[in-house]
Amino acid sequence: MLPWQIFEYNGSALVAMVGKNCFAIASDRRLGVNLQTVATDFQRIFKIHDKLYVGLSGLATDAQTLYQRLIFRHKLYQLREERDIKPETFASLVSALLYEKRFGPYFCQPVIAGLGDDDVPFICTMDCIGAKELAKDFVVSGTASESLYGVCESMYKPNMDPEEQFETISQALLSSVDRDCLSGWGGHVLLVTPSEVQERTLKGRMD
Amino acid sequence: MNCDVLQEIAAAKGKTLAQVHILIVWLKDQEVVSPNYAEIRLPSSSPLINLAHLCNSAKRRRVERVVRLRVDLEAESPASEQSRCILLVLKRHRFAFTVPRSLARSLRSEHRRWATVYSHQLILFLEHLVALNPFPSIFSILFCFNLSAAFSPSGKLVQIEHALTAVGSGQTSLGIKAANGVVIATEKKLPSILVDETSVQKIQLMTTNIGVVYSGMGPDSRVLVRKSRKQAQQYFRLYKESIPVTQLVRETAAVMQEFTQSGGVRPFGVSLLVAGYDDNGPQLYQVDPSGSYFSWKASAMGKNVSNAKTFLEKRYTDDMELDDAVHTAILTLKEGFQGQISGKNIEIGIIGADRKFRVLTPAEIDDYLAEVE
Repeated sequence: MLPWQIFEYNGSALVAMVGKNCFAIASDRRLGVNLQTVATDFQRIFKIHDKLYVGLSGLATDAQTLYQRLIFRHKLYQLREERDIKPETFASLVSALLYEKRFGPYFCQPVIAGLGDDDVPFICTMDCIGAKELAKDFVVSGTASESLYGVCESMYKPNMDPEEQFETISQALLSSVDRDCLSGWGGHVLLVTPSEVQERTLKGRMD
Repeated sequence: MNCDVLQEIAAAKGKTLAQVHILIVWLKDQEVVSPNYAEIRLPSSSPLINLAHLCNSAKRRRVERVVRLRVDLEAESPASEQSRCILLVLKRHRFAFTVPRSLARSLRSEHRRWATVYSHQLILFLEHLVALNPFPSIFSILFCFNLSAAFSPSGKLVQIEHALTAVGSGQTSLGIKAANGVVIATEKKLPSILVDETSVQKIQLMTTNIGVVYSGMGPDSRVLVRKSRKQAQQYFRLYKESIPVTQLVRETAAVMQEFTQSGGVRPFGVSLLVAGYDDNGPQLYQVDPSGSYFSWKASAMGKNVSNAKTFLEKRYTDDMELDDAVHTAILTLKEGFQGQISGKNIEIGIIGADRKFRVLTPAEIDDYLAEVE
C-alpha cells in the first residue's frame, strides 16, 4: 500500500455547510477495508460541545485516536478556562495537534463546524498536517470529496434555514457517495441551530 | 555500602540499602562511591569528578531529595580509617563529591588539577578543612543541602513571609480598575540623582493588552515577566487567540508557587499587579510570592500599603472613568510620597477599551499632574 492510499483504506465522505445562524454537517456510514465493507453504522462526526462538531475523514483508527485526543484537550481547556472553546480557537488547536505530528501524521482530514459568539456559524477543513482551509459556504473531505465539491457547488445557496439545508446537504451527500465506491451506505446528518440540534440518519443505496 | 546516612534514608523510606544505592545510581547515571573503598584506588579520572559535573545537571534537584543533608563520618568504623571519605556538599555551588582522606592529603599537590575542575573557593574551603581538622583520624563534617522552604513548627512557611516582607518594604505600586479601563502606577525612586531615569522601566508589557507592575525586587520581576511573556506567546501559538488575563495570571501564579516548593530555589521577592483588558472587560489582578492571586477593583502594595488602601477605599467608585482613575492613582501615590512628585519619579500604565496597554510618557504624566493640582 502506498502512503497516500491510507486515506482511502476505509473510505469516507464528509461535508459541512453554513446556513442562516446555523450549520449542517453530514457523513456517510460505511467502514470498509479497501473494497470490502466491514460496518455500516460507522461514526465520523463527533461532538465537542453543544455547538461544536468535528468530522474526521480518512483512516478510521486515526480518526478515533484523534477524537480521543481532541476530547482530552477540550476537557482540560474547559476546566482551565471555565468556558466552551470557540470554533476558531478549536480549529487552531486541531491544526497545532496535527502539525505536531508533521512527519508521522494522523491520516485524517478534519472538518470542523461550530457556532461561535453570537451564533455566527464557522466551518473549516484542513489537511492531515493541519493546514487550515476556511470557507464561507461549505467544506468537504474524504474519498468522495471530489464529487461532493461538484454537487455542493451547484446546490449550495447562502442563508438557508435548517430544513432547506437538510434537503441540500442530504441530496449532496447521497448523490456524491453514489459516485464513490469506498463511501456510502446511507448517511448521518446533524443540523445545529442556536437552540437545538437535530440528528438524522439517511438511507440511500445500501450497497 | 555501610554508610549510615544511606542506611537511615533506607530505613526512613522503607527501602533496602541496595535499593537506595540503585536509585542514586539511576538518578546520577553514575556508579556509587562506597565509603568503604580501601581497595578502590581512586584514579585521577575517578568518578568523583563526574559526580560533580552531574550535580550541575537537571537531575540535581531529584538527587538533593534523595541524598540526605547530613553526613556524619564519625559513624563509620575506625577500621576503615584509610578509606574514610569526606562528603562535601557545597551548598553554594551545589557540588557533591567524595574525597578519600589520602586524596585529601595529596590535595595540595593536586591543587592545580582540582582548581580547573572546581571553583577556587571550593579548593580553599577544602584546604581550610584539612588544616583545621583537630582529629586526624576522624573527619567529621556536617553539611546541609539547599532544600526548599520547609514548614516552621507553627505551620507557616517563613521563606514566604520573608518574601512578603521584601514586598512590603518595596516601592509603592497601585492599580485601579475603572469602568472602561485599568490604570497601574508606581513610584520610581532612584538611589541617586545621577541615575538616568529614562533607563528605568518599572511597568512592563506582558502582551499588547496586558501590563504589569511590581513591588519588591526588580530583578525577580524580570524573571517572571520573561516567563509570562513566553507563556502568553505559547498560548497564542496554540490557539491563535491572545491569552485571557485570568489565564496569564494563573500561569504566572503557578510559576511563583513552584518557587515555594522546589529545591534549591527561593520564593520571588515581588508582588505583581497585572492590568489587562480582554473579552471579559477590564481586569486587575494581584499576584503574591506565595502564588496566590486576587482580582481587585483597586489595590496597592509596597511601602504605605495600608494608607494607600484606605485612601483608595475612600475614593473608589464603580462608575469611575479611566481619566478619573489616573487622577485617583496620582493622588494616592502623592499621599505617601516623599519629596516632589513629577513625571520623572512615578510611572503610570493605562489600558482602555482599545485594548492597547501603554506606559505614559513623563510629559503625559506631567499633564495629568497639572490637572490634579
